[in-house]
Amino acid sequence: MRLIHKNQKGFTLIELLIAVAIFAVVAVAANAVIVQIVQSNRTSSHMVALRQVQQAGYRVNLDALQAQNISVSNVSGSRGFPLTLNWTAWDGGKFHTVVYNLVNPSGGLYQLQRQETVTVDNQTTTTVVGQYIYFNTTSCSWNATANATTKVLILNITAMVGLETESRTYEIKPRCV
Amino acid sequence: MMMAKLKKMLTHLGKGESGQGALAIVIILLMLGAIILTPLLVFMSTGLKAGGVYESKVQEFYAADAGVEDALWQIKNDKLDEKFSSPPYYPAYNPYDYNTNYSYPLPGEINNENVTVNITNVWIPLVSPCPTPDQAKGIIKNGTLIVTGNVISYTGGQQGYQIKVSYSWRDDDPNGKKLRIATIGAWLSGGFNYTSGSGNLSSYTSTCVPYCGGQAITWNLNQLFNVSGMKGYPLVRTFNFNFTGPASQNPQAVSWITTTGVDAITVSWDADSKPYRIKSTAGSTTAEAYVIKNEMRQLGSAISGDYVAIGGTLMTPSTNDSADDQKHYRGRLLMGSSATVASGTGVGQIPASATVQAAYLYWSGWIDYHYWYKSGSTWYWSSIPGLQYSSSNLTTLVETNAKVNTVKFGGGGGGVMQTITTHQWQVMPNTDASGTWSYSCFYDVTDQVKQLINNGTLGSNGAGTYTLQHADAVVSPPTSNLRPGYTGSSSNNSTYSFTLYPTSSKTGYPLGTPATKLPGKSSYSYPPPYYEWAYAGWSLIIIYSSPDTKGHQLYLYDDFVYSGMDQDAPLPNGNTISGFLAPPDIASGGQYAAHMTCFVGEGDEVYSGDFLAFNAPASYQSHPQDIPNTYKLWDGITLPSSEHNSASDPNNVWNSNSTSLAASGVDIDTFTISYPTIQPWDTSAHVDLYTQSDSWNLVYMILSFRSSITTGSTISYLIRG
Repeated sequence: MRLIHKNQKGFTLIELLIAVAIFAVVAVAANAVIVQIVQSNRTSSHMVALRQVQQAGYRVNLDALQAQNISVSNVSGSRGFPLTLNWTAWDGGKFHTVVYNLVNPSGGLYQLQRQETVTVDNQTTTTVVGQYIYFNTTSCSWNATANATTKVLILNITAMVGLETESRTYEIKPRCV
Repeated sequence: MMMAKLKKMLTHLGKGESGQGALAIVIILLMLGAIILTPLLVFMSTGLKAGGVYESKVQEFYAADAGVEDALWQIKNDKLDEKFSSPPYYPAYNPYDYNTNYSYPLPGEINNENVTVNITNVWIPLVSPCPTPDQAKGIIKNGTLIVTGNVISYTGGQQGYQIKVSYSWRDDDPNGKKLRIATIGAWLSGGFNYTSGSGNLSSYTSTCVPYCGGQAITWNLNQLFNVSGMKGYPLVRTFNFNFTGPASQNPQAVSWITTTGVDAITVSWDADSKPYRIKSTAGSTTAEAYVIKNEMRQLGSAISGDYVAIGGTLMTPSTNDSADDQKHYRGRLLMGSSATVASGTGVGQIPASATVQAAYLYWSGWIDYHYWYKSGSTWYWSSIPGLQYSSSNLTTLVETNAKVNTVKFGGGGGGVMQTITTHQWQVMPNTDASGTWSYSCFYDVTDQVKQLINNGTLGSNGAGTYTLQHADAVVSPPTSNLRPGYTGSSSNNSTYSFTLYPTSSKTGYPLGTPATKLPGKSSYSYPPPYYEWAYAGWSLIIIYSSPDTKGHQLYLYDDFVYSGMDQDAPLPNGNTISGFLAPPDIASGGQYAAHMTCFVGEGDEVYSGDFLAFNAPASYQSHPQDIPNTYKLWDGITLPSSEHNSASDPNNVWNSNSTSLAASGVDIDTFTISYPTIQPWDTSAHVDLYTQSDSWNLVYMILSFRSSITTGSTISYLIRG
């Protein structure tokens, strides 16, 4: 016992509290790190998938609201794509044609591609508004013969990243149709 | 080597442990944690920010869209005058000002955004510069040169556009004859394309350019087209062309003309189709929409609100005549007549909450230029020069000789009567070429009615009694050598007058010529039976807005139309009314889907076979006489057996009797139309105004539909930001 107490200086209470606090923070952080490392892949996949769906829905929404004419493909198995929307700008008379198409560049999941052509400028701009699109649950429909109040463009879209999927259904009532 | 150094360092730290070692370990762990956590947090933060940006843009966008919706509501419900009537929303709204931005904020915040809305009237005609507000108002309100346009849907999906030009040229105005139409123009909304070479404008040189999101077509008439090519009064000419476009979209159009020869009129346009630009800004996002609203008095187009129609006859069968003659002839001229608008929510009543938006006064009658004149012991069938129909002097005939364009109008049942003179009239010669004629006059009495409301003569909703009288009272006693009833000094005096019944007061320039018997005769066997044409009457249409009648649409047709025997009255667009949208709830609840009122002159009780059919199957259009009764409308009047014939039913709808009239003489019949005559989601209706043995004149027809839409459509929508 004498040996044990020899040169014993000990910790003050303050040092102990600080040490406990620091260890607590470290423990929480370490736990978070471990959990995030485990979960990050899944969260990241979810987030990416959600962003694809959001972005695609937002773009289609904006275009459909402006469209004066809408058509969807009636070809069997096309799931309504290409979706074609066009309108004439009030000022300048530029005629806009926007075509949404599902393309499959790598043989896996699809991309939702937006191709806009402005007739006066004769320029075509192609952008990808959604990636990792799962073909089997993505579709669009448009009933051109419905009456004015029930005429809506319906877009079902699913993005799949890893094992994570995000699906949304957009019902858009065009302003000018 | 490194591992050995690290081991040595840790061993050294472990020796002589005095608490600092633990701190070092903690610091190292913290550093490791920071290295691992930082990119993870950055990744998560970036993801959250990206999501936030989307969320923010979506919120801005929908806030801006809410501003567009609010502006549409203001426009549809005619709230712009009210909205911009006082500071801070000033200047006052002027529908003829094409340069001012009318701006207002939405109350409160939408999606945490302040929303500012700008509304601007859009000048469509391809004529530069656009007129000043005073010029524009003068041209449209003056009504001398009126341009209206209608989209026509033909069988088979083809669409056309009809431009009607009406020029109220007074033949006593030599300058007016100098008017030349220089160009005619029309604008079609986006997606619709002019069919080159179509219609009756195809012989003129045309240009077609992209304009205002659509197409503008201009036909150059090289100032060759003058008023002599126009028919009737007002001088009317109709132009048309065809166009193509998507079937799923409603076409919108605006037409205009430019003229030379008369300095005061260089341009006129279809002011009933009013385009607006709406800009709504929330944050950095702006939604810009262009909408067209169809205003009042445009044939075939919708307006919001509802109406009530009243009226009276100025001529009625004489009780001195036999019962049989009373079925044929209206031999008794009235000094005037009154009619009352009652407060209430029923058909033909005006809601207590109503605000009068417009009041249109129509009067119509038949004029004969003959009279009986006695010389010696012989009665002569004499005529009054200048009162016989002649297409070459219609202004003189109507406004100078007959003076049927002037009436007295007042409210309150015996109040002060105002003299009203109109220059908007239509005249038709009678088809028997006897030289007798019929007329229809129109006057916008909105200001007069509002004045009567403001001074308390009428209720705040316009309810009360309205009176119309002949204008000129001539004090000229009957002379023994004229047929009793006539007064006048000589056979060629055009300022003739009639003794009025039952007050024995007198008037000159009556609004109609009553049936006249040869003195001493007990029947109307002579003169020829065209005295059966005799009628005179008036009607007032009050158009109002009210929370009780939201979602109604009105259609007013007021071309003066004659309908002869065995034919359908020739209404425009193939007798089809379109542009409304019947709401789904008309199929339940027992509410009527529409009501309509017709002002018809000279419908005889004794002649039957005249009916009004609504939405009869298309298969009957080639033989409307076979339309079953189930499609026919009827005001339900059953006359006493002594007066009615065997067909006092839907097949004798024009019988000079109406439930709203104090005396018989004209028809101002209001009909309700219910499901299944109108089906949910119907967008058009077919009207048959058929007659067999009766002949009559249609002065106006007004319909009110309950509808899911209250105005035209959005024709362009753009999102910026």
